Amino acid sequence: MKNTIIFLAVSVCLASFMPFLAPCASAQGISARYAKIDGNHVTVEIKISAPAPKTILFTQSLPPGTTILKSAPPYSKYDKMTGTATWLLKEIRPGKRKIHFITDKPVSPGSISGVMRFRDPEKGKVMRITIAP
Amino acid sequence: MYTRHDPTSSRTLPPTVRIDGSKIKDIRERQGLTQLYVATAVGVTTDTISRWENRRYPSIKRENAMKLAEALEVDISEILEHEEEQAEEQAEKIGSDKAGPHPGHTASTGRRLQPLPARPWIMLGLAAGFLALGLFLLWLHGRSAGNIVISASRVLPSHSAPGTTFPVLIEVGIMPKGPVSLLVKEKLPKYITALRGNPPYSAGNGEGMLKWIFQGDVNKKLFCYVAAINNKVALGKKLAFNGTVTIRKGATVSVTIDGDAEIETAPFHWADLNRDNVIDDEEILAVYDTFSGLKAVESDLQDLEAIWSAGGYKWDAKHGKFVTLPLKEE
Repeated sequence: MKNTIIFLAVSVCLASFMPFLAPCASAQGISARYAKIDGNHVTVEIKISAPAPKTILFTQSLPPGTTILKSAPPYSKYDKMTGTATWLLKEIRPGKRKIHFITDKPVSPGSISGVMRFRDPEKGKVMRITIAP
Repeated sequence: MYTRHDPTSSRTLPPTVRIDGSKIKDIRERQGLTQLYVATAVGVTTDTISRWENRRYPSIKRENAMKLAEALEVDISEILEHEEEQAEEQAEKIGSDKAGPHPGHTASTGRRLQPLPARPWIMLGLAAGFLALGLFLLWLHGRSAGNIVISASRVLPSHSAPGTTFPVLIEVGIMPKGPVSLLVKEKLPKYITALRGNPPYSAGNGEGMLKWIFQGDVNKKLFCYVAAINNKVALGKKLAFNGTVTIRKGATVSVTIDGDAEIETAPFHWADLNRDNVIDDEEILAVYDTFSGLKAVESDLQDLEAIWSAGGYKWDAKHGKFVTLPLKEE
């Protein structure tokens, strides 16, 4: 009886932290998540395991009227019509890659999302991972 | 199963040996090796290799002869001067200088020549027997070479515009992995010129022939080149590529390069697979997955990335180039 109570207490404690953990989307040994959304600073973290794809495309959707002032690495393409910025990440190696960008206005977690695309290194099929804060 | 050269055959050699220059040249050319390759393998200059080949029976150090045999992948006895042959040649020369050969005897050794068989069918039978034996040996050789599995495949865009460049990739797979010598030959069609290669190729004897020689311990090797289509060639023309890969790994095996073999001249960028004048995200992903990391293609990929990020392109037929266009607003 005592053990059951302790188990339930620990479970409740752990479950209470869940909302604070950023959701992480993954496929074929690659996962991505928003590591930081702080006003107009946003950081996306991509975890890559072997075998790594050669190239990854990351497309960031922004709220209407929001633009990116600065980013590291620099984005490769920006589409005004759709309000999306795309990064072409080359020479991918297993490990972590981060994309950090600063917007002209603060963004809320619910207003942004991203899509990561890459080719499965073993099957050649295009994989798509959607991430949201 | 690989045939190894018997090292014992060189143990009894004197410190200097006389080699057969013309035979070395024959073997080298038959193997498709350059003087530079052989010189590098032996550790001498190309001038030395040239001197060895052009003099009839030069004397060289035993160690060099052994390295030379190894580079040519033959037994050392095959490149040495054969005293018997030389003696026969000298004797023939002496014989011809004199009154002429004696009937039924060789001029030099006095060995009696075997009389010809009385009936032609015996000759035919013997010839057929030797032919069958030869074919059987060839079949056995093929089987032993069959233990090496080679695959050679070409990746070639389906189309490209006149006056522009496009990349070609030849992927060679070798099983099992181990020390190997590769000779890749690629015959380019008319109107196509190679500009650069990765690794660099050497132009062959014929026009439009590219050659790569590679030696290493691999089970996969990529050969890439960037080629240009003549600006004056008409649209809709189909140009065919063909090539072979020869591998020496004990035995020698040759295969035809399969995969893509034809490119069509069209007013579209080679990476624009659906020919809509836009390089979309999936198209650029496919290109980078295939060609990234290959130095020869780097500048072409930069140009392509500029088209992709701009949104669209059109082919400028007059100047034989692509012009980037902003994405159309709907």
